[in-house]
Amino acid sequence: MQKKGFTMLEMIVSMGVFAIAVLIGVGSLLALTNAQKKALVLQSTQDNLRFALETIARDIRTGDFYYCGSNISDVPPIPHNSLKDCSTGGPSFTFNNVAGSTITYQSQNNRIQKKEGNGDFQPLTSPDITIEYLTFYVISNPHPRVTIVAKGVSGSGSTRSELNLQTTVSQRKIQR
Amino acid sequence: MVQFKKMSLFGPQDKYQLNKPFDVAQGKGFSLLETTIAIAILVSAIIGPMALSSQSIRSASVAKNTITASNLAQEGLELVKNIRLNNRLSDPKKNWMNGLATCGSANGCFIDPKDLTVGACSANCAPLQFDDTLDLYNYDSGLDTMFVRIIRTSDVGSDEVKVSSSVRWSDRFGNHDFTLSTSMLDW
Repeated sequence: MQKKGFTMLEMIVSMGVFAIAVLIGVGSLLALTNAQKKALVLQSTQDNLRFALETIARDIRTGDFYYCGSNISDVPPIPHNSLKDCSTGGPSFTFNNVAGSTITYQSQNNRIQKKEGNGDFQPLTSPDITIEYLTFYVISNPHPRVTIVAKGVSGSGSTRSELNLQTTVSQRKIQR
Repeated sequence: MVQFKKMSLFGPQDKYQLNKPFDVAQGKGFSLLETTIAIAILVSAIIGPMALSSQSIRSASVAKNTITASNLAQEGLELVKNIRLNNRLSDPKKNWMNGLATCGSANGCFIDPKDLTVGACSANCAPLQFDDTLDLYNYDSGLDTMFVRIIRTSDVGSDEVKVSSSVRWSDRFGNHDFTLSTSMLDW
């Protein structure tokens, strides 16, 4: 009879060991999900901002009639054939693309938006990431170039991730 | 009366001596080997995914800086192209590579995106600065960033120049380098 069941001491020790094992297991699992979330947020910020900036840069590079809007309502009428520089930066940019359509890019409601012709603004970035700024610096002396800067933020607390990108585009077409 | 044979996990109990008062657990419980194996399995089950996720964060942050660097490198090439066209358009008699002479040296040059100022690089090129109010990478204002952009040109023929724009940075994962190059013609 002496060897049946567990003694109190054995129970306490085994439960203690089990508790420690579970604590370590759950702790690392939580850290793991957090890390996964962080990686996902990083990925989505990068994907969105990179896609938007690359699309904009390629579109602008082959276009002409660079017009920098000093605010987001500063969008020239269609047909668009005016030029405007802004060496201190503007939040809106309008130009004619290689196919001849008038395109406007700007950030509205924390998303990068594109407007083609007389259509509505269509978002280029996901609502999961917040665009803090999208600024265009248009300088012609005499050949135009546009420096585009954009910053996107997503996640909060320890999983917060931000990315700011800058690139410059020199107009390919020679316009005199 | 049915007599159950006492069994331990590893065989009949009766091969163990059970005469001492504190020998109750002998033959039961876990051996050191079993414990070691159990702990090893548990640890590897935790460490595996942990290593995987830390690797994924590491790759993501390296990718983040690489994206920034690739855009800055692209900017370098575009600035050179812009200077070439400014030369051509302002005065057709002007040398098409006017102002870019220092970029042909071994150390290369840096070009400011705001005003196209070309500066010679010494052995250690100046890092790009980030202006918080303009949100702009430049060489005039703001705090130094970890990115260093070196632009180099080399003559291929009398009318062709190879331009390379190289962005270097070091973060906690080591030193990195991103280089883009293109050929430019005199037109």
